[in-house]
Amino acid sequence: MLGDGLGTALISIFIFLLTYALIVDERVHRAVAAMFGAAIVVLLNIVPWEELLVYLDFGTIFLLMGMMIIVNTARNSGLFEFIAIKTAKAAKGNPLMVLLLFSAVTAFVSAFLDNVTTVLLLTPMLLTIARLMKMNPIPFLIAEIFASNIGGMGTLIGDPPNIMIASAAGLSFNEFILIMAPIAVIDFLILLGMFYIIYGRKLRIEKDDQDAIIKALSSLDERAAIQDIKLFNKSVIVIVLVVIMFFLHGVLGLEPAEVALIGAAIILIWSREAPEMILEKIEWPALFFFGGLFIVVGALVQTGVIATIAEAMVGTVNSTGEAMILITWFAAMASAIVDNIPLTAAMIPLIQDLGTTMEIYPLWWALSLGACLGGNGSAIGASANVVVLGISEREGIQITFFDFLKLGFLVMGITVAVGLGILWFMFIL
Amino acid sequence: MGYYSSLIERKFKGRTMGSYEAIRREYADFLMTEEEMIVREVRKILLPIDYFVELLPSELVWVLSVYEAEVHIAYILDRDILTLLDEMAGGELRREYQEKKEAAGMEKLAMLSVQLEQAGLRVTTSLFDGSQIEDAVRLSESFDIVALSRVYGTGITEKTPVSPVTVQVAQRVHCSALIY
Repeated sequence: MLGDGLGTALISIFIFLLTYALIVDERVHRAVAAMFGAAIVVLLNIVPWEELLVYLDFGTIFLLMGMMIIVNTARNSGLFEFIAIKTAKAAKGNPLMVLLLFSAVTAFVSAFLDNVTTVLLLTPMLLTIARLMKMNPIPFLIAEIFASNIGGMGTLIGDPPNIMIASAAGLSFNEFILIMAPIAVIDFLILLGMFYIIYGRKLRIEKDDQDAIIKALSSLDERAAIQDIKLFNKSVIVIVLVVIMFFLHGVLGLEPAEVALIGAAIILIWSREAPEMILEKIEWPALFFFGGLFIVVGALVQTGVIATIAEAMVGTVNSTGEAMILITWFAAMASAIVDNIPLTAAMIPLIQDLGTTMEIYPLWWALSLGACLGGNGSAIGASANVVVLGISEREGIQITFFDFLKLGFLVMGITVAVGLGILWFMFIL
Repeated sequence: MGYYSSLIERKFKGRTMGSYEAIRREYADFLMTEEEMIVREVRKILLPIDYFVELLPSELVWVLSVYEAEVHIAYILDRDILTLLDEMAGGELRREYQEKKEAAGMEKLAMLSVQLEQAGLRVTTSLFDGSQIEDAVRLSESFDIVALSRVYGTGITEKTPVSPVTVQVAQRVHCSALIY
C-alpha cells in the first residue's frame, strides 16, 4: 500500500481522523460531518463513483429505516407512554422496584426497538416517579442508560453496532439470540446486583410515603396515554409479527433488512396513517450519517490502510483468542470515546481483512460485546447516554462527566470481562 | 456552560431533533404536574346552588363521598333580580317573590341534604340573597373544593353547555373547582 498510493493513504487517514474528530465534538451535526468526509473522498476520487455502492451497506441502512417507520408509527399510538405508566404502577412506589422494573423494561424494549426512542419516552415518567418519591433521580437515570445499552446488545436489532455487524458478517437474528442474549441477561443481573450494593440502602422510603405515592400513581390512567386504540393494537401486532419474522428470517430466506421493510409496509398500509407524517419522522440525518461513515471508512479500505493495520495486528496476535481479547477491549475503550457507531464502522473492514489469516467468527461477537458495552464507559459512549443526560440537564439534574465515568467504567469493565469470559467459553475452550 | 454541558446539549439536539419537546407536551396531556401530584386533604366542600340546580348526579355524590368531608350547600338568590323587581314592581311584589323563592330554596336544600347524607356525608346549609358570582368566590376562600353545576346561575342551551356564571366562578375561586 505504501508505495505510489502513500499520499492517497495519508489523505484518507487525515479525512478519517478529521471526520471522527468532528463527530466526537459534534460542533457540526454528525451527519453533516460524515457527509463532508464522504464528499471529500469522492471529490478526490479516493473512492470512485462506481465503488460507492460497494461500501454503502444497504443492509444496515434499510434495516434502520424499516425499524424507524415501525417505531414512529407505534409511537403515535401512545404505546411507549402506556408501557411507562404500567411500569410505574407495577413498582407500587417502592424505589428499588422502580429501579428494577424500569431497568428491566428499558433493557427488554431496547433489545427489540430503538434505544433512543425507548429512553426518550421512558425517562420523563421515570423522572416524575423519582420526584414523587422525593428521591435523587440519578441512580434511576444511570441504571436506565446501562440497561438500554446492555439490552440492546442482546439482539441483532437492539443496537446499531449489532445491525452493522450482522449485515457485514451475514449473522442471523437467532445467532444473536443464542450468543449475545444470554450474555446480556447475565450482565443485566450483574448490573442490578451492582446497583443494589451501591445504592440499595438509599433506595428506601417510609411506608406512609409509599402509600401516598401509590395513591398518586393510581390516579394515572394508562388508557389515557393511548391516543388511538386501533393503532395501538395494530402496532403491537405488527411489532410481534416482525419479531417472529426476525426469528424465522433464515427459514423464510429473508434478510433482516427485508423483514424490517416488510413490517414497515404492513404497518403503513394497515394503520392508514398519513405516510407523509410517518416518513418525515424517519431520522434521515442518522441514515445519512451511516452512509457517510461507510464511505469515509471505505476510503481506508480502498487505499489499503485497513489491510496494513490488519497485517500489523496479525503480526502482534498469534491466535483467534488473543485477537478476541484485543478487539473486545479495544472496541470497548474506543467506543467510550468516539461513540460506538463510528467505531464499529471502522472495525468491520479490519475484521474482514483478518479473515484471510484466522477464524474470525468469534471476533464478530467480540466486536459486538465491546462496541455495545463500551457505550456504557462514558457519557458520550452511546446515543442512549446522551439522550438521558440531555433530558436530565433540561430538568435541572446535573450528572457530571466524571460522575458518569466513575460508575460507567466500573460497569463497563465488569460486564465486558464477564461477557468476554462467556465468549471465551463458547468459542475458545 | 462548560464544554461537557454544551457537548451533551449538541449531541442531544442531534439525536432527538427536537422531538423531546413534543414528547413533553404529549406527556403533559395525561401526566400530572408536581403540584397536582400532591394528594391534598379535603375537609370542606362548597356546593353553591340556585333555582336552576336540581338533584345531584350520582357520580358527583360518589366523588364527594370519597373525600369524607363536610359539604356546605349555599343557596344564593340573585340579588340583581330582587333589586330589579323592587325598582319596577315595588317592594310588596319583591317581598312576595323573595318569600316564594326562599321557600323553594329551603325545600331544595332539604332535598339535596338528604341525598348527600344518605351517601354518608355531613351537610350544612345556608340561604341568602347576593351575587351568584362574587359570593361564591368569597365563600370559596374557606373551602377546599367548590362543586359547580353546569346550570348554576343561568341554565344552559345547546350552544352553551356550561353556564357563563359557572365558568366565571370556576376561573376565580380560591380552591379547586369541580364542574358537574
